[in-house]
Amino acid sequence: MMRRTLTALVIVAVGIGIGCAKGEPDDPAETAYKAMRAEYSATDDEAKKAELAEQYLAEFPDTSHSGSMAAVVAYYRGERLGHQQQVFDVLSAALDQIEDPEARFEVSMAMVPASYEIGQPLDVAAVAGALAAERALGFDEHYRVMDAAEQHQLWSLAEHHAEAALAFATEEAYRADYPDRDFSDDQVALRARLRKVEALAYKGWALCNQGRDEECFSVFEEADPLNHSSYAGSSDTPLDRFWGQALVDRGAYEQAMELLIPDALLGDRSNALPPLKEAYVALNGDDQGLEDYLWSERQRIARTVDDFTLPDYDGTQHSLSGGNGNVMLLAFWFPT
Amino acid sequence: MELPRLQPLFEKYQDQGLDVIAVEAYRDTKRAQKFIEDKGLTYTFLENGEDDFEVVQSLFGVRGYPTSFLIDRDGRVMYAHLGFEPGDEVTLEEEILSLL
Repeated sequence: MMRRTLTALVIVAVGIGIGCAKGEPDDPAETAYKAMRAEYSATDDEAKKAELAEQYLAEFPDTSHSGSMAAVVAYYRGERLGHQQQVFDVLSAALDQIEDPEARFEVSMAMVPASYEIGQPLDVAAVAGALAAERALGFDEHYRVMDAAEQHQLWSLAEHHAEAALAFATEEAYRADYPDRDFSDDQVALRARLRKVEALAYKGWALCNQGRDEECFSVFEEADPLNHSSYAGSSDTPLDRFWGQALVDRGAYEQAMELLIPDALLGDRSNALPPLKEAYVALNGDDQGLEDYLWSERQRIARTVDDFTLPDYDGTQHSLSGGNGNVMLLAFWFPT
Repeated sequence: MELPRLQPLFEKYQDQGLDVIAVEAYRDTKRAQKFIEDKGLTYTFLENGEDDFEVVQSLFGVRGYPTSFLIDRDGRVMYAHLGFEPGDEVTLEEEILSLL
């Protein structure tokens, strides 16, 4: 549930941030998009945000913004406000007007969670197949499909698209996907590596869920040395979470906890904490000492922050070491 | 966006020793300053280096925005969070309270 939220949010951010660069300047759809976007950014009202996207989709269903608008509707109208039937209806109506196969794919994928919630599940394989009939899918599309398949426990579909995504887990493929971007060799190497770990993580998890234990754990082990940690120390991919859950399911609780702790404390908490709790309770009989355990684990794994010095808008330099023993909330952002 | 949600936390806990520092990643100075002023944000705002990868990407490995870290009084990274959804400030407040 929460993972889906994050995916949607990232898409929303991308759609709102970058989508405006596309299209002709005097295109009415583009002019309307800019006006809508200004209103969208200015409000914190979730229903209003949903409404703006819905109105835009109703008026201009088939544009380069269709996918991001659909994601906004699915997130705010669906997940936040719980009106899944409305999401389904609004996106179905838009879909009827959309010819572009890529836009159809994006809008359909955004509809999948709502379609499951209201008991009329879309055929994810058919959605992917429709685009695949037009052109070969790329990494991000395979990722979308394998993630949706994982959410809805369509294991052989997840396995198939994870396998297909693996073909794009190379530096050449990554560069080819972003021809206009000036990435350094190190960045490209890291992104390619992360793609590989992600695809292997989903593949392993899909295999585990099909009862192919031997294969699944060997896939996790293949991915492990390639995995990458965030600054705080949690996994940058779902590998540890899937692997940990697979171990919990098989009763290997101690090993599972070791894998799940960094994500549960410093990373994808909403997905990693439940299996960690399950393992803790299985080992200890109840969750009485869980909070103390988490606190001591946090002390054990926390790293010391690196220092840096940067100017404020008056030109005064600030450094982290000047934090004078306060608790610090450090946020990285950019204005949208 | 999300940053205004940090303002009430800052106001509530600054006297108990909470600093809030926001680093703007892309040196979009004009828009950033307008945003800060429009939203009435009073905590510390810093600008990232000329090269946007200088601090953000290389040191903190930030891969999406906003990314937040909570650092305890001993300078240890005790919490990290990617994205900011409505409701996240509740979790954040619990985390802050556990460190103050």
